[in-house]
Formats: sequence, structure tokens, C-alpha cells
Amino acid sequence: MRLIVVKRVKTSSLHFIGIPVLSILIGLVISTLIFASIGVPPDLFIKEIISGFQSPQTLRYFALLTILGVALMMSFRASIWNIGAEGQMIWGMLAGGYVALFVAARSMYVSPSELPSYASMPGVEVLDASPVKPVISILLMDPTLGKLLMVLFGMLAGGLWALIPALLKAYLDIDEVATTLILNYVAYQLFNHLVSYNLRGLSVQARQFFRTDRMNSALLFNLIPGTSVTVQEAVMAVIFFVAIVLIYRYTTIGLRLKIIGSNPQLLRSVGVDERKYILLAMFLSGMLAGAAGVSISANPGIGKLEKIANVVSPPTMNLGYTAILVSWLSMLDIKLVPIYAYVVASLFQGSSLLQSEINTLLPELSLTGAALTYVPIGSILIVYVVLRVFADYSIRVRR
Amino acid sequence: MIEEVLNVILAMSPIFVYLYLASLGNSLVEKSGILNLAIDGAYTLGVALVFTLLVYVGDPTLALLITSFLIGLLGVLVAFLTTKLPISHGAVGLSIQFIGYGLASFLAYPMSLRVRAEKISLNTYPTVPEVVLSFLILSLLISVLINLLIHKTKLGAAIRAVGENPAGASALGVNVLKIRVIATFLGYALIGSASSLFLLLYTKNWQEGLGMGYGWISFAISLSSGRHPIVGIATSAIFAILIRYAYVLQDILVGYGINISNFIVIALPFMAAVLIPIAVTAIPQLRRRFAPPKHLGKIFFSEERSV
Repeated sequence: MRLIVVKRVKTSSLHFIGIPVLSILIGLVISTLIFASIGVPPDLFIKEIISGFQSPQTLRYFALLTILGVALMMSFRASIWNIGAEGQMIWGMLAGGYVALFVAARSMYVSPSELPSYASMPGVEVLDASPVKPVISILLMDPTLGKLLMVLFGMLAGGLWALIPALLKAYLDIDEVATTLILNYVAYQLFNHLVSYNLRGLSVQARQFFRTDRMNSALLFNLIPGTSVTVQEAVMAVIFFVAIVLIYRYTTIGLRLKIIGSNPQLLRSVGVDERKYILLAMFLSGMLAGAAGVSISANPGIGKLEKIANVVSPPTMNLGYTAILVSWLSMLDIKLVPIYAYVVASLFQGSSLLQSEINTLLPELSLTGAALTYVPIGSILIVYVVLRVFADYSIRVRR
Repeated sequence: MIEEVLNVILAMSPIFVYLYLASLGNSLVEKSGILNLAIDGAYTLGVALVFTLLVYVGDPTLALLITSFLIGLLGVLVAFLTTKLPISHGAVGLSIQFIGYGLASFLAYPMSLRVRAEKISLNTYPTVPEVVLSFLILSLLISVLINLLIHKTKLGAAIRAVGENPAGASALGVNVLKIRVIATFLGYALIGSASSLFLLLYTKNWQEGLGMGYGWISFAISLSSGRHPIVGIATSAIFAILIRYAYVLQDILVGYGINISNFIVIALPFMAAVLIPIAVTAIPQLRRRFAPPKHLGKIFFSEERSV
């Protein structure tokens, strides 16, 4: 008797739903066991993961992961493995931050005696009320226009950063997984450089630590009351999702972006330069990631750019990697992206709840955020990758 | 003059060793046709493992050997999944990379707190000329051995055949899985030793995230040396000099009025890791000579097969 693997004629829809769900469950069981091995009680783990599904904070990750999931899905669909969403988000943050701090508003020193008269002016915000060198931020344009510019420049910067690996892939055939990943590290360090020197703020706090000034509060995105998600990022998630669905459904460009992944020869044979579509897929993907970056730094809870102390915990919160999970679990089907964005957002939030719970209840275990996010992400991914085989192949017993 | 050259060699040797051995391991794995995207996870995990083991066993060489063996086993897992099942090498590699990152932090962070709290002194290798040079010579010796293995032995021919055309090799009676398991075990064991030496000979201590990204630099070295053990020596030396003397470069540039920050210095090897492969692939002769194995990263699957 032997087991044989046979290719399926058609993928069944049962697998389409079953495989992601099973991967999440098995992956979570594996992570529970790994953490239980050093004494994290399994019931605590499960309790926190479940409470992640109801936490209001989850909505924020949900919006961000929808944007990022759509972004990665687009490049994955075109068979381009964009693992560089982290770097593209970083550039989105930098460009958006530049607009917020130097174009749409500006911080400046004023003399202490003039401070009260400045403070009463509209659009002016006191950043640092020190009696020696007070710093204010003056709004230079309509805040709505300012926010729009932040997003547009962030998207442009993210898209351009994504074009580097895309050009290498299209014209020199250099593997994009390695280049996108390596460029993430370059982006982190360039971020540190720009934030510590070129964008460094004037206020005392900014001069003490390597960071920019706070962005003018008129330029920060607006929180939806009772949550930590902003109106702008929610609107962006909806717009991007709908726009990409429409592009895929009704335009030639969308069709070609899909074909390039499954049958590039066909594109070549009808005279389409497939390299242009590699560039386009990456540019669009990077643009959306850039928009996600802007929404992170323009969230009222953050509102500034700060030097990355350790590459394990960048300001992108590793969402660029987490989003790989979203687009894979949705089997590269855009309609499923929001569903898995919610599931993964809940897991993400659950693991950070778990971390704070462990820090208070069981401080001797000393688990880091990296362990608590990467172990479940990795376990779910590997189970998914293995189970994915069953969508296209069946295993039969032959005597 | 000779003394100066010797000093430069001594100064760059630890860096050379930890970059070169990992790139050599990567070359061996990729020669067998497996796209090695798990390298950075294996590297980061190796650094964390050797740190944890060092506290338990106390002897650096023993910790190094155990780490190499365990990372070698991780390689066997990669070889098994990518050869036995029709799944994407990239997907397997990335998943294992993330597990590697997570487990690294999971294992070593509690240990690093313990080391700090109990003031445990780590028994790493001393950076004295004898030790550094012996590791340099050892790694050059390994390079010659691996070169002989790949190009002169029957096993090497099988490894290359499996990378170029696994179906053909299989038809000629080569057991693809067996050959790939041997190649990845050796390759990952080398990656494991490289990451061990990264800690034992270079950083001497562990902090969160240590080693992340260095696997990718080794990956780029292997790529831009056409996966050839001997060519890799030159490429690794370039990177080692770049990493060792980046701060000197920074000083020289200040003399010309160009200020580059420490952050740029940290980013330099990563930038080189993107730029050097471009330079290599842009030159047609090198590109042809350094072409990857034909079946690198492709799924090896004949329509019906036993598991």
C-alpha cells in the first residue's frame, strides 16, 4: 500500500474555506504548545486571543491590515513576492511626516514674550512652552488639503521605494524576495538618519531624543470616538478595496495584472510588455503600503516620527510582515481580504494583550513582543503552506 | 607594510568568517535547487541558540557544534517540505524565517535577562590573533573541501544534477530527496556555525534582534559570487572590509565635507547587498557564468508520486 499525490482537476470551494480556517486553528495550537512549554497557561493564551476579537483596538489593525492585505495581494497575484511592505510603509511615514512638519505646517522658535499672542492665533499650536526658547507650530494651509497632501506624498514615496526591487526584477531578473527584505533594513536605517538629522524637531523633547516635533494637531487624523481607528484610515481602506475590486473586474490593466501571475507567456504572445506590469503591480502595492504608513504616524496616538531603537520593533509594528498572512490566508482572493484582515488583526491584538497580561501576571517568563507575534505568525504560515497543497492535489491510497 | 596587511586581515577575519561560512552554506543549499529564503530565520535562530547553549554547556566549541547540528536539522525540514510536496520554496522559506525570528527571541531573551541579573560571564572565544587566524584558516580549508565536494566528487555531481534538472537526475537513479537532504544539512550546519561565530567571535553578547539581516547579507554574497565557494571568498572579503572599515570611511568623508551618520554606516552593507548583485548581473559575461541552477526554486513534482 502506498500514498500517492494526485493533482486535482478543479479546486473545490470547500478547500477555499477549510484550509485557511484549519491553518489558523492548527497554527494556534502549535503556538499554544510552544508557549506552554515555558509555562504560559494555555487557557490564558486562548482567553487573550479570543478577547482580541472583541477589543476596540482591533479595529485599527483591521483597517491597516485591510490596506496592506490588498497591497500585498496585488503583487502576489502578479507572482511578485513583495515582502518589502515594511520599507514602503517607512517611506510613507517619512514623506507624510515631511509634508506635515515642513510643508503643511512649520515649527519655529518665538521669543518668550510673544508666546501668549501667538498661542491665541488660529492654527498655531504651542509645542514647547519653555521659558527660554518656546516652540510653536504654525499651520500653513487648509488642514484638509494638508492631510490629502500627506497621504499623496506618502503613497508616492512608498510606490517609488517599491519600484527599486521591481526594476531589478523586471530588467535584471534579480529575485525580489531578497531585495525587498534587504531594502527594509536600508529603509529602517535611512529613516533613523532622516529623523535624527534632517527632520529633527526644535522642541526640547525632540532635541533630547532623536525625533521630530509633534505634528500640528489640525493635521492629525481624526479618531472615530471610542476606538483607536481614524476616520481617514477607515475611508482609505474602503476606497482602496473598492477601487482594486473595480480595477480587477472591469479594466484591461486589472486583467493583465492577474494574468501576469498565472500565464506570463500569454501576455508576451499578445504583444504586451510584461515588465511594465511588474513595475505597475509593485508601484501600486507600494503606494497602498505608503498610505498605511502615513495613517500610522498621523494617528493622534503617535503624531511624530521617532528613531527606531531596535529593528525588531519598528514603528510599522511589523504589520508589513503580518499582512503576508492576510493575503495568503485569503488565497489571493480580494473579496476575502477584509475577513482575514479582521481575523489576523484580532490575533495581532490578542498577542499584544497576552504580552501585557504576562508582564503583569507572570513577569518571570519575560516574553517579548517579537516572540509573541512571530511565533504564531510563523506557525500559521507554515501550516497553511503545507495544507495549501490539498487545494490543488489530493492524496490517495493505492494498493 | 606586511605588518599592516596582517593587521587588516586580523581585523576583518571575524567578520569574514561569519559572512563567508553562511554564504558557503547558502551556495551548497541552492546548488541542490532549493531557493534558500529561510536563511535569515536560520541565522537569527542560530545566534540565539548558541547564546542559550553557551550558558548551559559553558564550552563555546560544544555550543557551536550543537547549534550547527540543530540548524542542520532545520535545513532537513526545509529540504523535505520543498522536495516531497508541491509547494512554493518561497512560501516555506518565509514561514520558517518568521518562526526563526520568533523562536530566537523566545529562547534567548529570558536567558539574556538571567545573564544580566546573575552577572554570568560568557565563555566566548578570545579575539587574539591565534584564535582568529585559526578560524580564518579553518574556513578557507572548509571552502576548499566544499569546492572539491561540489566539483570533483560523485555526490557533488549529484547535487548539481538535482539543482539543474531533478527529473532527469531522478530518471538516472539519483534519489533527489536524499541528495537534497545531505546538501541542505551540510549547508544549514555551515549557516549554524556562521551564526554561532557571529556571537562567539564578534558580538560576544546577545540582544533582542541580533543577527537579523545578516543572513540576507550572506545570501547576497552567495548570489553575487555565482554560488561558487572560491569566488565567494573574494566577495565576502569585500563585505568584511566594508563592514570593518565603514567607520574609517566615515572619517575620511568628513575630511571632504561629506557627513554620513552612523545609521548610514549600519545601512552600508545592506546597500552593498543590493548593489553588488546588480553589478554582477549587469555584466553579461559574469551573468552567464554566475547563472543560478536551472531548477532553483522551481517545484519538483512529477504528476503522480508516492509520499
